[in-house]
Amino acid sequence: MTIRYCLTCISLFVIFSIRGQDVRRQDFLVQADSLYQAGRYFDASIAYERILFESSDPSRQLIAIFGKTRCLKQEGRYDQAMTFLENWQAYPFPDSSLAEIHYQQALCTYLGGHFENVLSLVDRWPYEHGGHRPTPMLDVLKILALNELGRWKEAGDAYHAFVTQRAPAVMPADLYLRVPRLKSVEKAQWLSQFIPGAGQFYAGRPGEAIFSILVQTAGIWFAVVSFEQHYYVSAWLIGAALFGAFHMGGVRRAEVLVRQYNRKKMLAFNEAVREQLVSLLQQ
Amino acid sequence: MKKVLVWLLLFLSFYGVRAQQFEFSKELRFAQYLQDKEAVPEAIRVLDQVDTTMLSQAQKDSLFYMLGWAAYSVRQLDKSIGSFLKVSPDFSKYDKSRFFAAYCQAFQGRRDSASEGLQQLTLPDSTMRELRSLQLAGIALLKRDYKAFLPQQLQFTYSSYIFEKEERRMQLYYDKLKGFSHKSPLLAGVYSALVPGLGKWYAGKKKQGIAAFLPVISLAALTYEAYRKDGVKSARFIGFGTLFTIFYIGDIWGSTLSVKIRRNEFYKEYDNKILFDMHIPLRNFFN
Repeated sequence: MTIRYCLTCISLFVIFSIRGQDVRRQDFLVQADSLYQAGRYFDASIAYERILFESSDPSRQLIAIFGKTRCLKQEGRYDQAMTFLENWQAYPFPDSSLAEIHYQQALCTYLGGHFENVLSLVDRWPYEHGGHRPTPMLDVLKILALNELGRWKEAGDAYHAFVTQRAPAVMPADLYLRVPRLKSVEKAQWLSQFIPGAGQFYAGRPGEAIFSILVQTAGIWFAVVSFEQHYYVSAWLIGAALFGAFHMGGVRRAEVLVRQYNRKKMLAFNEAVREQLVSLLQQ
Repeated sequence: MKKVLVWLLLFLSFYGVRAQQFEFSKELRFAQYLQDKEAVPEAIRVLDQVDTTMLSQAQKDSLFYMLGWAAYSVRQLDKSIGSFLKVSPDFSKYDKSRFFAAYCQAFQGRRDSASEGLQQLTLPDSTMRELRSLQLAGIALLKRDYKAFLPQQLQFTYSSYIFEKEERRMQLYYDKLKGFSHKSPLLAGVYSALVPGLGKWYAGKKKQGIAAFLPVISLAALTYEAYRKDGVKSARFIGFGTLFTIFYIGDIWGSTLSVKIRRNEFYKEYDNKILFDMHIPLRNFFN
């Protein structure tokens, strides 16, 4: 009776300790997923990292890698995600998984604003995953990165190749027929230098241009009138100073406005391209 | 029957303790792994979540030392100081913990606590004692307590390659700080009243002096012109005169303040140099 009792206790103990370890392993994944679901991305990323630390099972490691990447993306820590994924590129996972890691790395690189690096990652694809067809999103990232860099010709070529490859039932409007025409910063400065307010007009801000013209004219007018009335000090120190300050400021302002205009145009164009490409992907 | 049960209970207790020890060391290894991957905030979160109630003193020491170090590396100085100070004297890295806690306190401006902590240490060898003197000398300079600097400076041997240069520089900082001439705000104001901008020049802010001189003198010229051509009662004279007065008085007031600003800038510059020269020997000696 006693022996049977003890043996039962020991057997139960052994069974529960083995099962406990299994449950614990399973627990980390459940815990990480539930933390992610609860929006606690920082804690979830630690839980996923713990799986990577403890587990040598490639399938669990892959779940953890993608889980942690999701967390880092949610937190906007794209550069960390990029480095994290880079470290797993050399790991002996199946090629399909390495390809997914590669794609996620390119995505995080794009989100982090490293557009040259996106192109490098896209170019590396055939060498690293020769037998694996790239995901269409990779082409989209390439087109968008080229757009961001203002390399319209290459972006247009990649865009046309992508549209042809997708072969949609209804061909979408070719956005690259009207790529944004960016304005020249030097031209704006030059214009403002010789014709007050012209740089602001060129940048598409007539209100600011008129204000600049009025203030500079007022400065000159004040200087001339003061000079005629023999207020020489006022002519110089108020009229000329006002004109000079607003003239130099106008030149700098024209430069800023042209940069803002160009950025706005690029963003609008990129947004249109992005929307069209995503709708093509969804077809 | 009783004997078997006792043995079983003993076995289970032993297993439980072993499991707890294993769990703790695994947590430390995980935190170290995170730190190695430069995920220091994550490592801090892991260490923070360790339940210390069941830990032995040695385990607590390891935990607090690691937490202090992780927090120090991401400049969470309050957490770093708190953790380093929890390390017990029996721990092998107790001295290191205390030195770094004192440095963090000095960095935060808690200079009295920093010097007290260092003075309480019983150090085993002369190099460490000299390192402490260097730290205390630095803290004395940060406190502008020049009398407290001298006894520490006497301990400098200038023979250890780890902090020989820092010892010499500490001496230099002492000379510079002690020789810093305290300029008078009143005199700066008087100078600016005589010549606009001169008070700022006197305080050591030459560019600001010129920048203050030009508008005041321009407004003076405009006021004079208005007075000469339109008289005292003219709106032009009153307008420019008011502006001139505002700028003139503003410059005098600014000059008195600039003396204090210049002094603070000078002290801040030297505080940074002193803290840097306290930090480098610590890193070189303990790493």
